[in-house]
Amino acid sequence: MVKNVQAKKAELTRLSNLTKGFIKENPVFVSLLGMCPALAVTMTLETSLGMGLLVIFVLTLSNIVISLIKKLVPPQVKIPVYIVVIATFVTIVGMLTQAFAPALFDSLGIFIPLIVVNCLILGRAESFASKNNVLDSTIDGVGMALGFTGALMLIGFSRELLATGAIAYGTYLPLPVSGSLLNLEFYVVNMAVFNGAAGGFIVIGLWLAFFNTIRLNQEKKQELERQRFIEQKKKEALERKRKKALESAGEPA
Amino acid sequence: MDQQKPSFNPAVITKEKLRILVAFLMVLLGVATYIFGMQVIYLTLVSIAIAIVIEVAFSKIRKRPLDHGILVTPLMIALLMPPTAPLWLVLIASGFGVFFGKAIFGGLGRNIFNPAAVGYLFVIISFPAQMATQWLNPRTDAISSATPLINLNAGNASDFTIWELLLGNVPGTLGETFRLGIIVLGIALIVLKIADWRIPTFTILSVFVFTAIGHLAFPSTFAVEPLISLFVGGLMFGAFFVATDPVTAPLNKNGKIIYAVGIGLITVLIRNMAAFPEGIIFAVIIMNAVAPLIDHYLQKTDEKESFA
Repeated sequence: MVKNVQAKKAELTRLSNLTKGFIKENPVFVSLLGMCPALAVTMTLETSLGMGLLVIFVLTLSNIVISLIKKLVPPQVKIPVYIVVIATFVTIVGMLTQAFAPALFDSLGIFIPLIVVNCLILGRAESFASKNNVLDSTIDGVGMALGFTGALMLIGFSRELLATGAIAYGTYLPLPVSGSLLNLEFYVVNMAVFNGAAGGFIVIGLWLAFFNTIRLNQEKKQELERQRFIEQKKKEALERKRKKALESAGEPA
Repeated sequence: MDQQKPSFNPAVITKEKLRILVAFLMVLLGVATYIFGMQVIYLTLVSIAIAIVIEVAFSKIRKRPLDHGILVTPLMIALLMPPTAPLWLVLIASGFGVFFGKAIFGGLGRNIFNPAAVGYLFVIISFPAQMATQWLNPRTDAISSATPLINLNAGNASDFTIWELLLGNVPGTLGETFRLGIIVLGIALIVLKIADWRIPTFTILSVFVFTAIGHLAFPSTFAVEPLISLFVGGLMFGAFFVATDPVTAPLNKNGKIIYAVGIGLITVLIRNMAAFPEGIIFAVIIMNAVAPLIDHYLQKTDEKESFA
């Protein structure tokens, strides 16, 4: 019985471990990690997705390896060792991309090698994988990378739609079909600003504002609830005290 | 926090001065209507309408009193539009300028960049086809692809005399062509202490000097003659009306000179070496970003004078 409950609890924390990266601790919109690719490669939905896939691969594998070797690495050389591990996987994905998705490789360019210094990956290695077991680290890596990919795709979707009025597919990723979705043919939508860096900042800023508003509202609600709970407890305590006082006053009488 | 105070910035000009500025901009729009026709009125009305919608919405959401400078930005944006601009273009420009240039920062007095310049830049980068290729020639009512500035930049001879350029019956954006009126009203702004004299003077002077240097050193790149370069493009309007916005310019007196010279230099560089024919608005935005830095470095030397 007790074992069952414990297993359920562990599952629940694993589930929350997976989903915490989606919205609650989203790397881009909450922790502001990995802003460099979030600005630089989110011109289109497809490049964002491509970068996201690479990060999923690198982050998951580096988390696994780092949690495996965590006891072997002396703390003095922690960071260099992590960087070497991450760089290995980045090199692998870079070569794989060049072989199987050359268009994506060309359009991401320098930002593939730069995944090595993506602070999201080093951050998860340092703060999670070096302290937890392999399974938890894997789940954490997948969840965080999925959250990162989702955020990138959200930005990429908004920017591509605003800049070109359509969402193209099959251009960068080796999909069997190619074409474009959501053809908003009226030309008001083609705002070339969103292709540039300024548009990237504007879109990220707007999404940040959106997620922050939601988060702040939630926090405010929680705070109100907490206060109400405290008030209630106080009231109960006061009532109890009064009762006791009445009783003790009634006794001698 | 400070709902009673509409702004904390000492540079914000008073209601009366803003009213005069709005009146001057209206005069320029009136002349533009005379030169370019009724489209000017429609553009202005659309620009003002969207600006008022956004400002009212923000004052309701932020629970702040309505700014008294509500009309300045939409009027300036209307004056920066080409005469053939479709109405949706000015809608986007004015909406973007007021929302991202002003409201998001907290309203009048808190904005970093001139909101009119922000709106203008957004549309000229996004819609170059509508913003920079169709120029109505008011004398022939024909639409050509060049203004006097574009012609001169390309190294062709100007087909307009300086007097014609001053009177404004030439292709160009709505606000920039009636240069005589801009100069007169600009001097009035200076006399009425709405604008600081240093900014327009040094902007125009530095454009003259830098163009002259460039013209002497590299006549093929800097094709425009220095004197003519002052009377083409949006330089006069930008120098007298856009760059002088006291909120986004430095507070320091010497800082204003540095700011103006920077605007002149960047204008000349963009005019002669970049893809866009006119660079004054870009220059104003760039120097707006630098203005707080200028103030910061000059604060110690000028502290007593400026806040005495």
